[in-house]
Amino acid sequence: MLNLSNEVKVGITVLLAFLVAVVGFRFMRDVPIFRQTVEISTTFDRGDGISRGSIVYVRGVKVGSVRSVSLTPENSVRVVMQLDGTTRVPKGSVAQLTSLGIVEGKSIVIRFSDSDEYVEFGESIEGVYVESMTEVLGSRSEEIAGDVSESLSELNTFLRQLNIAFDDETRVTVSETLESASRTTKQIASILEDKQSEIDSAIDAGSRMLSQLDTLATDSRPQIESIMAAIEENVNELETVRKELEIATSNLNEILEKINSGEGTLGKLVNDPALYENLNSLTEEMNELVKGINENPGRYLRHMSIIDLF
Amino acid sequence: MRSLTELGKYSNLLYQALRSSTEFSTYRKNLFQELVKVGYDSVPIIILTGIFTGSVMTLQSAYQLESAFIPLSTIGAIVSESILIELAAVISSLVLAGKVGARVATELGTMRVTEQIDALESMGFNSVSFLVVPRVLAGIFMFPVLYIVASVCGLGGGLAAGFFSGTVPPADFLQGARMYFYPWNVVFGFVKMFVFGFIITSVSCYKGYYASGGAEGVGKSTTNATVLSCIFVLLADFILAALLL
Repeated sequence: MLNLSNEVKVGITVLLAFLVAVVGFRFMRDVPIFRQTVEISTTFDRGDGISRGSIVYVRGVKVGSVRSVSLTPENSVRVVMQLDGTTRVPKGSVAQLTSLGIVEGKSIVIRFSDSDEYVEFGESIEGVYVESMTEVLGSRSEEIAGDVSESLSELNTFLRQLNIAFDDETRVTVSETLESASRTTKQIASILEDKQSEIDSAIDAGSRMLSQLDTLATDSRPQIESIMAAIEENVNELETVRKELEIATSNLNEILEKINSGEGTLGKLVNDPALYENLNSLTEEMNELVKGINENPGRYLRHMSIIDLF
Repeated sequence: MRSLTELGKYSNLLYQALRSSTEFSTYRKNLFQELVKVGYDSVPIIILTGIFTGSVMTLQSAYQLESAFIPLSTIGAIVSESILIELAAVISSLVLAGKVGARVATELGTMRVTEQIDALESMGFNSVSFLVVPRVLAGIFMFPVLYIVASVCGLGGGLAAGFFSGTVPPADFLQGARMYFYPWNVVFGFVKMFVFGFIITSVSCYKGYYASGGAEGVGKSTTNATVLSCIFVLLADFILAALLL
């Protein structure tokens, strides 16, 4: 240990303490100890939760801290931020007063603009106050509480009415109804018990019948199948018959057409009236001949003797 | 009644010290000696106290606040606030009450029972100015300096303890500490140490100056000086907190 005089020892102690105090103070105030800083300011509508030393972030990176918070004559909150000398804030950037978590304190987040010009020392940028979730809840809590209490009072009223409705008489009625219902249930149960064997046998008979039907169906299957096959065959034959009939009909049609058009013997017969007229006159002549024979058979039978005849 | 008498004698001694504080040439040499003894020589113990206070504070806060909903920075805030406002001042003062107070009381008590003070008086020295004033001045002046040492070591110790134990990362610790760093806290700490320095040295001087009854009397006055210093430090701490916060 150096042999220092008391005065020097005191001086060293005090000086070192002073230096440590100044450096420590600046350190704790988050003022860069050996670096230049940039001061820019912004104004918010309100400054809840922000105080000297609050942290300023850009894209989640800490770039500085709040140096002072004060109320302006226009009733807004002026916040002066102290940023690292290397941070350059574009003009038109927006400072948001926001909370990063539910329990964390408030911080300022600067959202950079695309401008090529930068904010100079002491200049001001726009500030926006972002309401946190707890604040939103807080501001709406009265409303919510009102709703809840209203619902509760309605529930209360309902319960009270229910209580009133359930006066002694009703209660007796309800319990009587319940009793009679239970009696009925018991009766049904006893009936079911009594008739158990009958029900069982009925079910047995039913199931037997069903099984018989089943066996019947199974046993007769080949017969049914052969019947079905025969029917199918007949249907096929009918089909061929139908085709032949069709051909016959078309042939007939052809013949009728020919007759109509006067072709062939039949056609001529049908279409030529000459034959009819010949026949007609023949018939008339025959009538006269028969008449003549009747009136005077000898004339025609003169040369005819019975002997000759036979 | 006895305590009133003591208060009167104490006040009288302070009055004499105040009146003779202008005789700077009488106590100049003694003052620097005392400044070294109170300040310079106490720095190691204060560093030790500070570091351990801070680190214990951090570990215990981390242990107590082990919850997902409490950010780690809260620990930094708690530790730094506690150290700056309370622990750096009070714990250091209690330690110094043992170190400085006991020494002052013993020195003066021994001088009293060996009749050195009477000898000074008979030689025409103002014994209060020669013995009491430099000690009280050294306390008033050096305690705030020691507060700086204690605070810095306490915060450093807290930071280091958080880092080495893995409970609180330094960045979180510093964020919390800075978030709740109010210069007034430091001023308050200075004021406290100023008052504590005065209390410890003046009470010890009083107890030593009026010691009687040989070696046993010196021992008794030393014990009394230390105990009373501690009590008055705690009392003053309460009063200052009630008045200034």
